[in-house]
Amino acid sequence: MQETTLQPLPPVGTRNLFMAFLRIAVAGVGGVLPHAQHQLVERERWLTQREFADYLSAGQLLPGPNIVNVAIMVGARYQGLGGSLAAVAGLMVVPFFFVIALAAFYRSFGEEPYVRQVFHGISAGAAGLMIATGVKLARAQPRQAWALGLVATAFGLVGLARLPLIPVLLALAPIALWLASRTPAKGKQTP
Amino acid sequence: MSPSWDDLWPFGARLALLSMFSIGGANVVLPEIHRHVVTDQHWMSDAQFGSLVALAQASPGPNVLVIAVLGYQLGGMLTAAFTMLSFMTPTSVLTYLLTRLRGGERHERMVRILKLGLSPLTAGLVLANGWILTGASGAGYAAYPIALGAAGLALATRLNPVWVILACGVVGAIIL
Repeated sequence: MQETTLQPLPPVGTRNLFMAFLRIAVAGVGGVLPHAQHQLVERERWLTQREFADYLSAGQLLPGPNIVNVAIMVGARYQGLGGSLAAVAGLMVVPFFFVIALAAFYRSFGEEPYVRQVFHGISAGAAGLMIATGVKLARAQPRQAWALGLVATAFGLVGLARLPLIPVLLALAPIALWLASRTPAKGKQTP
Repeated sequence: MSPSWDDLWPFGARLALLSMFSIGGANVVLPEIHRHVVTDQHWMSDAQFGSLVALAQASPGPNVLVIAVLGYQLGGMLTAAFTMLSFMTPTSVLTYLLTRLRGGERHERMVRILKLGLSPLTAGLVLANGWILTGASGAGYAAYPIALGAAGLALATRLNPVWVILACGVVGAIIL
């Protein structure tokens, strides 16, 4: 996260933050991140490409929804706490009511025989998309035994053995960080 | 089978705790939420859980809205707002506080190690979530080929995921 830039920052108010994140949210069917990049870097020019990448990787590292973390960081940069709140509100308010409307539809009609089958198909498809996301993430890992072993171990313990998440993470995270700390910053050889 | 507020307060606390482990997004903790609301408490069926997750995925906006959808099914609008706030507040406060810190070189190295070490875990957990949700979709064994097909389409093409999900709905209507 870079907080200092040489150019004077353009005036960005809470209303701008709210509107920008509202646009990101509304455009973001099936993933908001590409829209966030377009809006924040190309359209509003609030962040450079590099800064966006930094914010995003920080947002992914921190617990919590990635895009919400980015909204908090961008909001805080321009307007402090009020900015963060405005950005998160912009991001959430329209999709929240939209999704609730869908949930209300589901609650009323989801158990009708025909609709039910559609939903079963949709659920399987959504699960498949989740698997695709996991495969993409796994492919992005370094091609080293320790990293691929961690992917497989996390999958096996939670997905197959159905162990609870928190103990699994508490056990695996220290091992993962230790292994990562032994990997040199550049070059592909294992230590 | 809707939970009362006596059940919802501890559930909110559980969501708050889980959120602190949601590295890589809300999807990572879905198996854990599934265990609680379906397996342990019987607040909804497997198929209901799977359908609601799919609804959230097909909607615009952040994935974390799945928490609101599940909350709505448990009690309505107020419960949806409650589950959402329980899940989002702790991590949002943490992120906001961290924006007040400044990093240096040591910070950079720490971030590199965290990223390198945690992202394989995230990948494994997202895969686990996809696997568990496939089993929970309500489509029985037919779910596996459907999910495989959807995953293949998503990986091989640049199709908007919404179309993939809708196509699976059509397949479901025909074959299930």
